[in-house]
Amino acid sequence: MKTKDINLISLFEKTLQDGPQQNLDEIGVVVQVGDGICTIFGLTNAVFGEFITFEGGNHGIVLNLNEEFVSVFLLNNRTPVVEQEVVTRAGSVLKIPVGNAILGRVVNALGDPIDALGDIVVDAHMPVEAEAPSIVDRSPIDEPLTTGIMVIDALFPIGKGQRELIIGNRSTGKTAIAVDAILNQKGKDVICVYVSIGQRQGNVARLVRLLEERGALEYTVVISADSSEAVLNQYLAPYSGTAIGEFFMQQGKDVLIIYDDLSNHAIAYREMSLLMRRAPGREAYPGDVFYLHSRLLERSGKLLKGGSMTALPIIQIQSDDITAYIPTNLISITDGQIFLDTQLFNNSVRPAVNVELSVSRVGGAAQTKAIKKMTKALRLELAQYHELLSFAQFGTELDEVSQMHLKQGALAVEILKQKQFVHYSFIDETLILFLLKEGYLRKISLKDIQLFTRQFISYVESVYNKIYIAIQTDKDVSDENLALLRDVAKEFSGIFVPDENSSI
Amino acid sequence: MIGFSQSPIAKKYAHAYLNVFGDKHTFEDFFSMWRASQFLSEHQNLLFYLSLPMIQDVDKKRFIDLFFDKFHLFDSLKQLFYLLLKNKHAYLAADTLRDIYGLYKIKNNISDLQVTSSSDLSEEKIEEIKNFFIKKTGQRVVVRYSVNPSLIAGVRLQSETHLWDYSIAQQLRKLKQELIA
Repeated sequence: MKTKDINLISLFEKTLQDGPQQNLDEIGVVVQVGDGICTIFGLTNAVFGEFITFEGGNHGIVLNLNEEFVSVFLLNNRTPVVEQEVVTRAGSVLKIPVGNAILGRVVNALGDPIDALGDIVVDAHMPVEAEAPSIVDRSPIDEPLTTGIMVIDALFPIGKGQRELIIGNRSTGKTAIAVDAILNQKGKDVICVYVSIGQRQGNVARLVRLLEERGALEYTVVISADSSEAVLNQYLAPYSGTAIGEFFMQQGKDVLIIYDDLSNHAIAYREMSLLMRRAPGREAYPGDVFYLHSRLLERSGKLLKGGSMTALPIIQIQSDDITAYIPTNLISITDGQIFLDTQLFNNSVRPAVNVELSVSRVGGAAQTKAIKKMTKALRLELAQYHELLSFAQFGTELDEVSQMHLKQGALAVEILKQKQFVHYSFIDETLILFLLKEGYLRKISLKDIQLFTRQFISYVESVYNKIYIAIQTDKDVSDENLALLRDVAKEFSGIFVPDENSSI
Repeated sequence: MIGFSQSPIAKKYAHAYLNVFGDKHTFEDFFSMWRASQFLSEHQNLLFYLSLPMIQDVDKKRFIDLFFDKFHLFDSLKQLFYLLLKNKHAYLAADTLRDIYGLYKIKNNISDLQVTSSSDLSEEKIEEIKNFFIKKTGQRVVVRYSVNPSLIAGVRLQSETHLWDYSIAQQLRKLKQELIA
């Protein structure tokens, strides 16, 4: 047991000097104890979500109110609660301590540090359950939040304040995308909040180390409610993460929050609901499971007074079935989804984003003009490619136009492949997409595509720096610069030497 | 001590009983019902046997008669027990008795007050405590007094819904919780 370093005697003397209380405490008495839950008689004035203190030192939250009894979920499985134990109300809903010093720290669902780096200086206490900003307080999403992943930034752009779902089977790179998005925010004045729900402690430790090694932990907060923790902590973790995000958002800062993952959150809530004997519905989830996630994700958005919170909830599905209960709920709540395909992943198309099933409903307005110009036909090309590819598999002889579409599609797939921890700036993405759009990659063999694009970017940046700077400042490619780029691309195609040792 | 069971059916039986016989009993009668409910709660196996269909009704009724003699309960309540037996709700007997006592207390604004002190208190002191509690809650109070040396020093007053604790044990407990990181 760890104790705070304070003078025990003086503290005890001070406690005794307080004198007897003038009023009676309103109490309840534990009548039944279950698995992480207890039923309490009394507490007639308790409110939903109220913080409860047990005489034995445990804490809980009121989650069910009946005529004479309330159901309280326990925050700590290790401190025992016994029948006839007296409980008292805190008089307010659960609030977590937050402060600017929380950046770079790993905390639990109650905001307490779990990284053994000492106490966090508290600037405010934020309610875990809070109302979402109203319509009048919100501003339209018009600013991009780049992930550094070309397939996302080009085809499914994410705007600041958007909610974009990352959905896929297990081991398809969902967390990898979220981590890349965090790493890409370095130096961009975006605060990142990573909420881990019901995951293995080892995974969280690995992620924290990775963020630390790559210098991303300094602008990130990690909230961890691992699988060994009480189910209430797993239920609270995303709300606590959002409360931390709101603290920064209200200061006018941009926040990126990752919920990894909400399937575990829904499972935790299902367990709680069944323990509270609420009627089970589809897949045994309670009827209010939609509200569970909608009230969480509605707290993200872009504020009129400044500040935004972009949410990337992650959801795991079984056997590519996106029609299950929780995935369909989240698809309808969020502003788009990035669907990661197992088959693509196994075919070494990484990130394994399924272009047909993914969508960004509001990000288009936030996309930079430069990228928008270059990606006008890309989705169509990819769709035609996939359609023709299945047709070509039958051994059919294809006409020249179809073969051209196939070649162009294969090139598109190739340039959209990207290794983890490799991030493109929007200028890099613009230049690569320019090469694809203008057909400068057609004569390059597939194995040399990545090398060609990489060297072309360096060539423009070093030799034709003016164009590079112009795109960076204008966030657009003017007609004049487009003509210049065509000349540069022709020039570079002439001097490019393929690497004979490279292989794909 | 706890006012109600968690069974809505038991509560309905209790309501019905109080509606019919509520005015015919004294507080002592209701208190003996509570003692009987405590006994049955502690000996759940009796209620289990009472619910078994293979045990004949004659034997079950003989048990009820014996039980009523032991706890000095009254005939009107026996009718309720027979009804529970007939409706296959005999397992709710303890809950029903407890709910009758709980509802009676609410109706008459009575509260059970457990006074615990670290050492013996005089009659006058207990009376003083009782008056203090009545003043604070506005309820009629039935005091139960006990001595618990583990309080170290001080007094603890606990009813079903209120607590007033000024003991060294409580101060130390608070201190411990404050000190745990």
